[in-house]
Amino acid sequence: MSVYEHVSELLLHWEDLHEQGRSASALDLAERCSPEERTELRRRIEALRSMMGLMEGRAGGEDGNGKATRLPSIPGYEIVAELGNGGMGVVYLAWHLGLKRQVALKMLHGRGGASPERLARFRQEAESIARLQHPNIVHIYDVGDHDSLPYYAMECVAGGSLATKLAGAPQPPREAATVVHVLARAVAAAHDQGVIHRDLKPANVLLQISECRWQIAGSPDAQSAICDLQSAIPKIADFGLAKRLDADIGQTHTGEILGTPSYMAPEQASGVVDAIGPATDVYALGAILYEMLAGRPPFRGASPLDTLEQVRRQDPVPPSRLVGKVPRDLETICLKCLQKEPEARYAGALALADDLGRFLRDEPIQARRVSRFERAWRWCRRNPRVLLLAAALVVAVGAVAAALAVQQRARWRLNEAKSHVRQQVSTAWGEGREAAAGQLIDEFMIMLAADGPAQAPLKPRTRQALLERALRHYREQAEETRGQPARRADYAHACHRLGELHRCFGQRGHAEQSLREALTTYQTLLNDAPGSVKHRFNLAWCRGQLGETIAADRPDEAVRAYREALTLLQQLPAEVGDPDAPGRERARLLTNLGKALRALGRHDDAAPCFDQAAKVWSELAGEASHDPQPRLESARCHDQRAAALEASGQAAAAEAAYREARTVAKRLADDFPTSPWCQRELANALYNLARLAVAGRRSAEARALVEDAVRHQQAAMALHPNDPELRASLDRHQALASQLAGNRGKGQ
Amino acid sequence: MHADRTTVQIERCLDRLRQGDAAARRELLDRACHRLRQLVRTMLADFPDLRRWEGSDDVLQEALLRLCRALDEVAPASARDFFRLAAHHIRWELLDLARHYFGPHGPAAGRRPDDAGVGQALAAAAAPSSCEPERLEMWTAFHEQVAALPDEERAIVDLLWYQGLTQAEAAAVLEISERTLKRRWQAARLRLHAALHETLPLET
Repeated sequence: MSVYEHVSELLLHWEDLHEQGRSASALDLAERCSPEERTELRRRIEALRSMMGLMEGRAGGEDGNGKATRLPSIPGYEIVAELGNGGMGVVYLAWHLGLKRQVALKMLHGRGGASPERLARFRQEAESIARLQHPNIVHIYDVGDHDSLPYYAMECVAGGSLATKLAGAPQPPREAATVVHVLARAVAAAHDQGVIHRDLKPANVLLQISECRWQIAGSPDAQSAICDLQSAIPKIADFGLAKRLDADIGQTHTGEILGTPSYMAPEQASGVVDAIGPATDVYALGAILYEMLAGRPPFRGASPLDTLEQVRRQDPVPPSRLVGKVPRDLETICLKCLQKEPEARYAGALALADDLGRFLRDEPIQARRVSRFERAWRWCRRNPRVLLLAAALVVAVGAVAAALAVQQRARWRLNEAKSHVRQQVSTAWGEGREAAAGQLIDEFMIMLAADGPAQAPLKPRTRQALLERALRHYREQAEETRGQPARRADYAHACHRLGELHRCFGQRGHAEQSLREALTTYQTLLNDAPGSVKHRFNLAWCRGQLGETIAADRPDEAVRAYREALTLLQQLPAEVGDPDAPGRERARLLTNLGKALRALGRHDDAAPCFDQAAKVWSELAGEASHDPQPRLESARCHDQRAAALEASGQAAAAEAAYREARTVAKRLADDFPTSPWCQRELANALYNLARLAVAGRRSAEARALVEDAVRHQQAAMALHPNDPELRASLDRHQALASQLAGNRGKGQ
Repeated sequence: MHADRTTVQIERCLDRLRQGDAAARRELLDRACHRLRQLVRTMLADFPDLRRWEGSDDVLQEALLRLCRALDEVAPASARDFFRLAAHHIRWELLDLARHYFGPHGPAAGRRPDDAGVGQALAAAAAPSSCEPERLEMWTAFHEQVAALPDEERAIVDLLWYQGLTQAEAAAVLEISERTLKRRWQAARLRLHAALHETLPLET
């Protein structure tokens, strides 16, 4: 093959690569050339570029913005070809005349010109970086400036960049771990010298291939040879320089800073320059590992700004969820690097390298997985705007599961419900769907209003904080929708929720006001659409809650409210919506009606209400229910009925009722041994029977009963410590127990 | 394949034209005119002053009309003939336009450096601060040099540049391999580059 034929082949290959946007591989071209061929190749490439520029109506270069890309002439170098052109500058393939070796020469855009001082500082820093001697860091040979444009000459690495190699394809996990392990050690060595990279990304990791298998004729084969990761030596390029110079020149070149936000640590994305440190590089290493595992960077928005927003606010989707088989430990390592707070990441690149080493040796790693709750909490801190939803959801994961178990037609086991809610919650977060999260919080609110879930009691402070946030949320919603006929339903909803919340805070006056406002609005809605089941149900529900709100002060009015609500419910068709919802509401209303009647001293009237309520609750619980709530309510109704009978002077009937209550509570406590409320219910039934036994002078029986009661009450306390109500009950039971024990002592 | 589809579409159009379907002629003309407009835009890419007229200039409208008339008078036998003919007319229209803009009465008149050469113009064409007259002169030379290319190279410039076909489409029209096409396309551009420099040697 003659010189010219060879050059023609090279030129065709150059153009192929150029068309594919892979001009960086032109490095290979010059490697294959004799000096004579190199000159001819350079001449032809320049001619072709010139014609391309003309005929495509743009510059001969690849930037497409009309800039000239004629090769510069720099003393001491022979510039062969342009390898790439990016935001920071242009990279040329060059021949270092003094060293007689091929180099990659990066020339930075001046952008308004750098002052001599800045150039001096750049040179000084570049020299300190040039002293970094590491097999996995691209060596810098020379630093200088030409026509006031700074440049540096670095080791020429054939084999393209990691970015070209990856091209969106996930790599085998061990291979990914190996590459990042090597990179982390190199980065650690730089950190030891006080040099931070600041712009680690796959494009800045070059691959040195030990043996060049490049062939002109078979460019696809050549590409696969270049892309053989296992035999390639990764080398980190552009250590700190480019970014540093740019920052020093002080140009705010937004497009550039936003150029690769996918690999930027949150502190960097937020522009907190002081916060940039070794942890910033650890983050980027994690991002590279992530991309190698998942085939895409951790965050990638529609625009750079979107991406930055995601970097700041969202948690990365675990790679295993994107591609399936990712070793759990490796994923843990990766996600630890990507923590938002620098202090939550590895202490340094060396610690990361060590943990990756442990993974590669199949030893236990030191990183631990961040729990969902922890993640959720951090997410909340980053997203104050949706803090209400998020915070509620975090705490509610368990609680909502219980609420859902109550409400879902399908009666899942609690654990299934929990995992379902967790999944929903994380999906909603991941996708930023506030609406879905909002729906969950609504369900949570219903549950809260219903006295808390049976199995997952909330800590009082948590509950308080939650309620306060919810209160603010609904107050805003009410303000927003007030006086807008089109949003009447939203307004009613907000008022209704506000009423419930005020009641939770014991603000009965406010609660009544809000509920009455909701009632009026629901009534208007129902008048407009008399057939609406939803409005009718809401009206009944709200009226019932109004009753509950005023019951303590005005039981007679409450009784009227409950009766009205019950009438409304009777008018509902049976088969609509959640079939249990009207039943549950009816049971609640009957229970509350009974309580109100008792408050009025009408114990005789109250007993049948509780009886009826207990039956409805039992029906709702169904056969072998996994949900404790309706059965607990049923047990409480039995207890209340017995108390009503006792109060009306029907001792025998009362005792029979208490026994029945104990039977129901016993089954419940056996079925739900970890529910404090179920344990307490049994303890209460036993205590009441003990009281009657004392009254009937059956001391031995009373003692046995009360001891049993104390035992169950203690079990409840152990399950839910610090609950004042449980504490009060236990004190009462223990007082009776010691009284009875004292009596026995006296008797003996 | 896309390449085949374009050729097949043109062939179908030509078939319909031969059967007296006026709409087919319209489609072919639209295609050629569209390409002419695109090329004018390319030619005027760095001429903000001239680009303003791009859509409304009488000269361009006349060029389009002439192109239509030229293509109206003949019924090309094949897609390849159509492309060749269209490219020929487009080229000459472009040449006319360049001469018009660059000529003594054109908007660029009076700004022409006395000793400007095409070589310099070519260099200037790639520079953002290029002078308009130099670039226009270079365009004139460019079209003339394309016309002077060896047939097989000119055919490729016609298809790829004047007609805007993809390489695969052009190779299909010419019934040659893509590799051959790439070789000739590269040779044509290198020859043009050399010719433009030789015609008016670089200033020293």
